[in-house]
Parts: sequence; structure tokens; C-alpha cells
Amino acid sequence: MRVNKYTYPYFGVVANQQYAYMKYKNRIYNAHWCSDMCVAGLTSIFSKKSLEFVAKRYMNTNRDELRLPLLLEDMKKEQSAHLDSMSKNMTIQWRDQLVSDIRNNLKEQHNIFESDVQSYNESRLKGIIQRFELILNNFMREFSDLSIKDWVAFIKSFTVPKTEKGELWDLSKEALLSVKLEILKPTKTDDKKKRKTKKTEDGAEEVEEEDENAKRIRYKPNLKECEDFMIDQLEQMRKVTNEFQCLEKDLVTFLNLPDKSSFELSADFIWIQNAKAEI
Amino acid sequence: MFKENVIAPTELLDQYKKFEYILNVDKKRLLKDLFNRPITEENTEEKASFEEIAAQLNKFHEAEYEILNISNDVVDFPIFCVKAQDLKHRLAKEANGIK
Repeated sequence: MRVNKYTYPYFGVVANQQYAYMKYKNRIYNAHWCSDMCVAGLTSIFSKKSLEFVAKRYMNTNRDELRLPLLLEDMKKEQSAHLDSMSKNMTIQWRDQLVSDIRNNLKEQHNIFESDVQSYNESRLKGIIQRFELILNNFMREFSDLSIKDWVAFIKSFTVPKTEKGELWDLSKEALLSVKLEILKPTKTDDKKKRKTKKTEDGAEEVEEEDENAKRIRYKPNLKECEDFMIDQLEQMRKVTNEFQCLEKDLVTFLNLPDKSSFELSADFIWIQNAKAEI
Repeated sequence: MFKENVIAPTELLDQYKKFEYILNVDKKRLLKDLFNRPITEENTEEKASFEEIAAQLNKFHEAEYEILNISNDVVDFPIFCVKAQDLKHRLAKEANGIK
């Protein structure tokens, strides 16, 4: 409530004669979720389970487990396996477990087999489910944000901080990826020559002939491939986040509600954009 | 962040790339150019002079030495650990083989 006149104390309890708290205290208490012991108990289980998951991360950034430096292929396999395992655990141990707990606790007092959308929208059950959806959405937000930040910090820990710019972090003793200098043997047998236009120092254009049959020295894997992999992991995290569905669809199954992500993370979301820019 | 850390490994690659020509030396043509070249107005002798042959030998000798001194077998950069041993020895062997 905004008070027009400066009132002392500015921050504090302001009595409103029109809506006297004491008068509506019982009504408020009965309407609040904490008055329902079943919901209060579920909230406690829900938060405990969710907090367990928030401590985990989409990507494996444990240096001791990874045994660095790794080949790009091995890093891809490691991160893919970790993300798959996280995704399955989130669905089975987190979401399905929550759905099962909520259904078991609510089935006695609420009609979880409701098939009429209108009745469901007006029921107390909808309010309870919405509350859990909001909590889950909040946890998913936090989980995704922390996972993205953790991945960026992990990559950053392999780079030298610019102390003159106020950067400071624990620099990893090992490199992140192992790359090899190798000779690329030509695969084409035709006597083909590629023409490349190159600007000389004085600005004049010079045509250079590049023999495609010539052996070349390169990095394996290519350094660009390594960079693409690092950035692509953000996309993988985004996909898994979007695959994590709301609870409502599985709580009131007879309503045939459409699939909906618990927390929709779009490609142009600020966290993803910032992480890409940092990498 | 990543782009800044690609500069040093790319510079190392460029140093090795300077000797890429060794891998593409046509040995038969080189022998022909030195010992069996066609007689023209400029080339009055079939065989190249001693100085010319020595210069060619010296070029590959120096290349071999330079290749072996470009870097260690394993170079640690902040993000990348570059394994250069195989390429280094292969290049040096090629240079030595031509010599």
C-alpha cells in the first residue's frame, strides 16, 4: 500500500481500517496453503527433493573425475553421458517422484480424476497444483542458471585472468583439451587447384593457387570444432531444460492437458546470450 | 574468452606450416632440376653447379634443425595441450630424407 503522506515509521505495519487483519485472520488462515497439513507436508518433501537437485549440474565440471586434458571426442562422450544421466534422473527421481507423492497425498481430499476443465479451474486442487508448479519453475530457473554459469566458469578456469581488468580466479594446472598437430593427406586424386584471392600489403589483389592435392599441416581436432562444442553445450542444456515438463499434465491426467515446459528457456534468453558472449 | 586463447596455438601451427613445403617436395623433379635439367640459353650445363647443390642441401639441413627447435613435443597452452611430437619428427625426417 502506498501512503500519500509521509508517515512514521515509513517501513512497518500499517493498519487498514477497511480490511482489518484481525477480522479476516481466520479466513486468511483457512485459505492459505499452510492450513492444509497435507499440502504443508508435501511442500516440505517437494523443497527437500528439489534442493537435492539444485546442487547438481547439467555438465560434468569436476576436474578430478574428468582427468584432463581430454581429447575432444572423449570430452563429448563424457558430457553427453553426464547430461543424459542428469536428464533421466530429473525425470525419474525428481519429476516422477514428485508427481507420485503429490497424487498419493491429494487423492483422498481432492478429485484428481477430474475430467471437466471448468470444474478443475474453479477447484482448490488447481490452486495447490499451481503452487507446486511455481515452486518447480523457480527451482528449474535456478538449476538452469547455475548450470550455465558453472559451465562458463569451468571454461574460464582454463584461461589466464586479466588482473589489470580486475579478473581473478583459480587457474587450472591442466589444459582442458588435447589437440594434435598432424599432416592432412589429400583425398582427391584429380589435379585440382583452388584459387584464393589475397590482398597484398599495398592493397593490390593477388591470386594465390592452392593445390588441393598438397599435404597440409593442421590441428586435429580443429580449434573451431572445440569452440563450437563449448558453445553447443549451452544449446544442449537449453534443450534438456525445455524437455522438463510441468507436473499438471500428469497430476490431473483425465484433463488431457497439452505438454508444457516447466521453465521455457529460449535461444535468445539473456543467460544463453551472455554465456555465448563470454565463451 | 575462447578466441583470445586460440591465438597462441594458431601461431604455433603457422610456425610449422612454414615447413609444409617439405611434405610436398617432388623429389624426382628436384633431382631433375639439379642433375638433369634441359639445356637452354640460361642453363648451359645439364648439372647444377656445386654451389647450387650445396645451397639446396643446406636449405633442407637448416629446415630440419629449425623444425626440431620450433617447440617441445608437448606444448601446454591455457585451454589446449598441443601434441607436436609426431609431426615434428615426421617433418624433420622428411627434410633429412630429401637431403
